[in-house]
Amino acid sequence: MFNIDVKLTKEDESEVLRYLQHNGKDIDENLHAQVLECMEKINAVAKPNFVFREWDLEENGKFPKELDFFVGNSIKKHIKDCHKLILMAATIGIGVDNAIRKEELKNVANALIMDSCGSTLIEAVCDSIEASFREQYLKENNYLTFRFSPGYGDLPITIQKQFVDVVNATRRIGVNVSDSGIMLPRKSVTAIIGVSDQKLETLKKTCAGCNLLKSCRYRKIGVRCYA
Amino acid sequence: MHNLLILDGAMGTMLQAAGMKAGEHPEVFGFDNPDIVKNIHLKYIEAGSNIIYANTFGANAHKLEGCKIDVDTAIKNAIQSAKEAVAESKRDVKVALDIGPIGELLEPLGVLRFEDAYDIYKEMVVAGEKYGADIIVYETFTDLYDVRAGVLAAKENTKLPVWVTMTYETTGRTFTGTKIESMAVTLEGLGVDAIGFNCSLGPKEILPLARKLKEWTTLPIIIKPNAGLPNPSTGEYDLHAADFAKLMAEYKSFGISYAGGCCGTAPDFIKELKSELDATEAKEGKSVKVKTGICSANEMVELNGVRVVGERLNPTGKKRFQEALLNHEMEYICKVAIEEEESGADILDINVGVPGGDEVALMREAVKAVQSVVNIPLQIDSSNPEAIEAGLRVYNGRAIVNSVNAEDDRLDLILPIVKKYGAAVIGLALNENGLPTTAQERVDNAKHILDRALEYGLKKEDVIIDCLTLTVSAQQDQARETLEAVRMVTNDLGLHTTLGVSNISFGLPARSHITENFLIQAMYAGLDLPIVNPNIEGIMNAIYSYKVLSGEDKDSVKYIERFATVKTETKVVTVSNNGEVTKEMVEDAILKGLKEETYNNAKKLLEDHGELEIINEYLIPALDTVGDLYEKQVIFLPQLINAANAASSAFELIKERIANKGEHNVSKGKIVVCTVKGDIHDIGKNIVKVILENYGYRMIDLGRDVDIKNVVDTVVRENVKLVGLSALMTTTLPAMKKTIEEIRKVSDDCKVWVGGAVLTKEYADEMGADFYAPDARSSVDIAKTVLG
Repeated sequence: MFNIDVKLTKEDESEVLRYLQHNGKDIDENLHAQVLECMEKINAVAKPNFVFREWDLEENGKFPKELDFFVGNSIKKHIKDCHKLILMAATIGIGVDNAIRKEELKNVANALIMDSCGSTLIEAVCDSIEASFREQYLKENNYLTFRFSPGYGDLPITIQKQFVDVVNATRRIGVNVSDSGIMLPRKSVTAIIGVSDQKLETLKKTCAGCNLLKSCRYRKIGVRCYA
Repeated sequence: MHNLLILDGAMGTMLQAAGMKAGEHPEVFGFDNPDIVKNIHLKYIEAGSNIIYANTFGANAHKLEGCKIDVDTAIKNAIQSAKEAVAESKRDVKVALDIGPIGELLEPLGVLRFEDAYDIYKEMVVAGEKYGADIIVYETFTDLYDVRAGVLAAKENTKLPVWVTMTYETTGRTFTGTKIESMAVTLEGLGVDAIGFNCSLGPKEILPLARKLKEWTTLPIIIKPNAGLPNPSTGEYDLHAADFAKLMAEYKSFGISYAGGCCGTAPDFIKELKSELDATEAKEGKSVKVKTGICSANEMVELNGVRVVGERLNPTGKKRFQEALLNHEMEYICKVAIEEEESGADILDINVGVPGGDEVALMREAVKAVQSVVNIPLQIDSSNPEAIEAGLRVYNGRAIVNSVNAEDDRLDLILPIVKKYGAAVIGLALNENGLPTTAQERVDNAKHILDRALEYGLKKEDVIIDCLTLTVSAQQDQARETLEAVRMVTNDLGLHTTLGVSNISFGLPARSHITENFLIQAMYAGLDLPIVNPNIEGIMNAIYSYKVLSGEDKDSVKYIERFATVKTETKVVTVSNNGEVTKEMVEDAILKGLKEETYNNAKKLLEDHGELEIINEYLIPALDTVGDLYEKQVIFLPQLINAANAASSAFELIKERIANKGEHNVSKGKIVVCTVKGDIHDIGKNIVKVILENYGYRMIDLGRDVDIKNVVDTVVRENVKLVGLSALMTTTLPAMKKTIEEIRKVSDDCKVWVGGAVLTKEYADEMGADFYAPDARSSVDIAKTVLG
């Protein structure tokens, strides 16, 4: 049902460049080749894996007790019309961290590009998982919100540890959280998706909804972090 | 022989069923509800457990931080509950101190230092022994390094037996990449008493992993699987007690010593398990010959053919390497290591002995750094026992020690260390009477080393003999003696042999001919661990060819692989007047990121230009041009870095020249950079470093997750006038602010600049930074402003 065996392809190049804050100008052949080479390096070491659990929201739309660490208004708003939640954690594995660390010594430019490739790949893996959920739920006439992650809106990044614990991601897929809320392997994502029986309108991420609005490195050069 | 013993099942799920809330610490819950814990133990004992695990899995200082009980109290209480259950049951049941991972990944994956992990485990095991645990069990580990720290802590601070079970994926690797064979060989070497698997998979999935483990260890095996695989949506496990027990019965066939259950298993599982496995004999094939080898966590090198030992991590006669060691430039050393691995080395010899350097500290530092970037195992090269121990202690795998000789004093000094860490050892075939002159003397020395090694509990296959390569231009007759000794040690003593091969040709012209010829003859005589420079093509060609002719390279697969793909890189040829290198050419090559060409340009320029002149007149102006183009957004970040990389190939050459002249390096001033405490994002910081280095600044990179004290101490010690701090998380900005405040306390004129994704000019001002760098390029301007 879930296809997580996702690989980076030529089509992902623009996405990789976007993470590198590329401004859309033409790039030369050498750089094209360099990006493709870095994609292959990441494909070779990435091991996508994910875990999820589903919870019913309580009658009044509140979070079940086990999930009371979800605080703030953004997430409340996000799941306003939902009756069920999917919590997921995904990763492309520690091999990616190791490969990037090694490449930093050999060629920092490659390391930087590989880092972007990793970001692109983990998002692609999450997209694939989300699409499967969407398809599956649509059969029951249910609709999904977009993936909402800690650090977005006013949902603090500090809940990362509780999130990872509640889906048992450390034992199941090897995702760890540092004291400052950083996930290891680095290219890992936790996300919450709401399930609703109504067609949802606010399905798009917006800059206005993001707590990095003022400091966003993408906005500084006029691009966005989402497609 | 004893019968297989039954362990217990899950504790966590039982506690939850008894009312423990999600997110609550099991140890704190157990402290508040000792009767609940005792009753769970009792249920397992009644179900048939011979050994129960105390409720101490997360009773470490890291996890209990901020809780109302400390480690000692948690362990005391949990063991007491277990012991009360045992007393009540009136059965002969042992209590294990159960220890799970700390909950922070160790370096280099995470930020926890090996030494700190050791201290955390030490606190636990000391308490465990004090309160009467019978066994120490480390379980659910995925990182061999982490559990090594635990095992050492237990072995050095208690007398209790130590067991280890790790958690694997069906691929035969843990999440961090540890192989089964590496786990087996490393832990058996450290003197662990039983090993095996727990968690992550069910009995069916673990079975093939257990078979593999059996091939690599003589130790008793522990199997403690989950109740099958979890339902993804609910997290419930799919096996019932009876099915679980049936699947566990499969393990009878090859003999395990301890069986129990992990996640999802309850007392009924243990009851069924007991009736299924009762009266099964525990087969612990002590006499069985198992596989062994030299390994890192992720790679096993079996010694069953010619294995190339890379020799380049050695400062002898290499000024630049010496300088790198003295300056703690581990990056330089790591780069050499990566080159050797990529050239086909199987094992890396590592020697850090340099006049004026602290060999013990350097060995520790270098082993940590090198093992973080190469997979192949290491050979710790020193004659200083303390340096050897320092290297072995932090080495995540099973290393070779290079070396000891046949003198009893030396053997008594070195062999206990080799034994303690389960390493292999090279014995030089010489003794207090000096260099032997005949093959027989060498063999006699080898025999003595072997005998003494066996006395110390090493196995025969752990001993490697160096039959001593002498320089053929000085002692011509010795080449034959060395070769004959290799043959005799191999055939008559049945030991592995090693030689520092290239020494043979010292003092002769066209050394490679002699070296390669000697290498081939030596391999034919039995040499299986040649210490060579793997970057020399001829050497590696000889080894690849030899492996075909000896039959080791089956169907010539590796040979064909090496030579089938002929490199077709086209070299860029730059045409110019009189072959002179112009400023335009330098700039063009750098702008295009052409490393080799930039290197060659610099080489040519060095013929009639000074080092400083090249830096100031050629390289820096080119980099400025590149920087301008970046600012104008004509090129973007990867291209800027490519240019910096190209330039650094020229810088490295210039540094080497200056080092060889015995002069100190050119430096426009020292700059400290680091990623602040709590943060581990360091690519941005590394980019800044590479770029600034090319402007002639001496970069002191403190790394990531850096303690404030470390920054402050460095500023004072090195009298630093500029510090760059990086942070990428909103959660780590406070650490940045604090770092600045502390720097201010110790220095009036040290400037600080900050950068990183979440930063803005406003944040930078607010936290009192002198400068804000929106991108890597702007760091150059800041450095120029402050240091010139």
